[in-house]
Amino acid sequence: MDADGAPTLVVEGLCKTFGDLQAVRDVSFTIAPGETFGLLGPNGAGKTTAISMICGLLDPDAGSVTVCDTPIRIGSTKGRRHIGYVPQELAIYPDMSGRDNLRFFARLYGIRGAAAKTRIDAVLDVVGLADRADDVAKEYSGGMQRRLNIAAGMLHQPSLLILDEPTVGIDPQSRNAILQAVANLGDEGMSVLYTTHYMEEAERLCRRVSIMDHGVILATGTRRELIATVGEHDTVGITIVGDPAAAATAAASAPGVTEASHAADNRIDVVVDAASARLPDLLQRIAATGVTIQEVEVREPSLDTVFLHVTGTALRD
Amino acid sequence: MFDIFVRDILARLRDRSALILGIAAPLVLILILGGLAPGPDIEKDQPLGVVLPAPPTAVGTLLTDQVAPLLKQERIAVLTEYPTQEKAARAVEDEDIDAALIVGVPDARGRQTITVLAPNGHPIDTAVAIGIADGVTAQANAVTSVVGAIRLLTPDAAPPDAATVSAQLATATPTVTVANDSTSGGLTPETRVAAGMATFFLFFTVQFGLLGLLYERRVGTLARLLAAPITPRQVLVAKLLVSYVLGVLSMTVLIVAARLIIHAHFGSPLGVALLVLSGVAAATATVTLVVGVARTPEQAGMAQSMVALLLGILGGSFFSLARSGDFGAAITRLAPHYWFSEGLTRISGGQSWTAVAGPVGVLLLFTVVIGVPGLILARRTVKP
Repeated sequence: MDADGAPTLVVEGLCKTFGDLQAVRDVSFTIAPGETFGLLGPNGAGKTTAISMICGLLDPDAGSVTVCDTPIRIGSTKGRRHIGYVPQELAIYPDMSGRDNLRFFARLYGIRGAAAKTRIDAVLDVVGLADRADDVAKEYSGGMQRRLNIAAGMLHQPSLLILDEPTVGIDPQSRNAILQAVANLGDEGMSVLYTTHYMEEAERLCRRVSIMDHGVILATGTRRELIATVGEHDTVGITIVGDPAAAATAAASAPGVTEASHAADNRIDVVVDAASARLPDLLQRIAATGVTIQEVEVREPSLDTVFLHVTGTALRD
Repeated sequence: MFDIFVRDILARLRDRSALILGIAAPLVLILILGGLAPGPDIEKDQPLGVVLPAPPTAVGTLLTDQVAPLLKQERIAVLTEYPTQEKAARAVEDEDIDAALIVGVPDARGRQTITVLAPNGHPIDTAVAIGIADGVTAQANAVTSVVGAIRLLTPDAAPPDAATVSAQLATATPTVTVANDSTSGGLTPETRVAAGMATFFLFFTVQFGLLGLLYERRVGTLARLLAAPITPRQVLVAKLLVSYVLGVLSMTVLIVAARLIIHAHFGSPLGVALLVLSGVAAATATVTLVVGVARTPEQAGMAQSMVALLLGILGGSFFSLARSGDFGAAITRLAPHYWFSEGLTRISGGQSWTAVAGPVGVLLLFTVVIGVPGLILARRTVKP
């Protein structure tokens, strides 16, 4: 919420159907000023369709989108200045230099002359392309082109920056650079809507996340809030030499353990409440069965667990 | 909108594809084909009509009794007599004869005119008819001059003073003149080649602007444009303008180059400009419809190439369908190329620019009929 309490983005009851396919069903959420909000879901979940309606590129069958108190509609340019859009595809002109690309997109938003130069230099710094700005974009690596794609979306300092899967298909180094750049945007007060099907990106960048699948938002909240919906249980993976069935039975008898199973040939998985406190007793009971403990791994609950809980399946590509 | 237009124009000039297809390729063909354009290929036994005045005059008699047998003997032409100018004109229009010589009634001072009626766009037929008329005229004028001189030198006549001799010669020469009543006398072979190639390649050149819509939709830049404070209509108009400006640029360069290099003769610059502007509008309308129907840039490019080739053949860019019978003459009128060429034909003989009004009107009608549904369909393309 901003000073007068108004969210940057309000999405209410968005619906969109293509033929027999209901691509988006009753999608609602809000984003506060300066907040980075994640829309997490597998490919085909309806994220891009929802984003297209939020940007005014697609008419919803029902529902509304308001950015900075301005309704967004297809064919209307009202409110567009508040939005920066970074499409999933590389929406840049490969035959132009990075700087010329940015100069062109700046003009579309009425930014010209010295103001444009200042702003272009600033975003080139943010995405780390200042030293290659005058090279033709088609000579950039995939990661650099992605970064230029993002720079074009944030040139006009929008109140809301929408990034649609900005890290798809790039190397880890460029991915890190992009994630860092997006993290900085939130620090500067820009609201960000970030769609991804990479769980770790959502966890790293977003204060709140909506989990979306088959066109529906299944859960929304902070990471902690979402995890709380499935319980604060940790999973302990224990690699042993010896009888795994006996080890699992011993583990199941320990206090706080809700489940213990033979996960693989020489490993058991134990679901336990507050693992750090109960681990010594747990390991003592398992060792007492005569097995040798080789390795212990404690996994805290994650959005993966939440996704599995709310969708019934693991996050697919 | 202006920013999109400028970016696209610069991009097209930078990648040179539009320059190659819009200027270099047609220019090379114009130079080659214009240079190789055949000279007059005079047909044997060319059918010509003649209309004689009543009562008979010496010029008419000279034509029918002296010149016609000679033309027949040499197998140059066969003269058929028609009772009225209207009937002769209809025979020319129906292509029963290639041209007609109308021998006028002498005026009060004894002067006569031979008017040549010839169809548009048939320069050779026109040239033969004018040549015959010129020959008859020269012969009649020579005789008249000799007769006048003999009168002056007759011994029983009073000795003329210088003023009388001068006046007599002035009235005696010439007594017969030739008026070319064909609309233009037709395009020269060089001009015909230049016009044909320019219009043929025009339909390829104009695709560079509008096809960008489909290309940009594919690569994602269209989504970014539409997410900016720009309406879809503005994006469409910018692309249309790119097509139109590239077309005008291409046609202008080709016409000027053909004029300077192969001495093609197009006639009134204003008339040519109107034809270019309306012709490019018709070509742009065509590509608008193609882009509205196609789903991918490849589909659109292929469809536009087929349309360009079909219309080029129909419209006479390579050979004239108009002379291959009634059906050919009818379907050739469906192509903008024909009307562009027709417009040039009407002004190439030195007529005023207003002579292109008809062809320009047809080209604009074509633009509206094809362009309006094209715009409606293309408007649906302007989405991510």
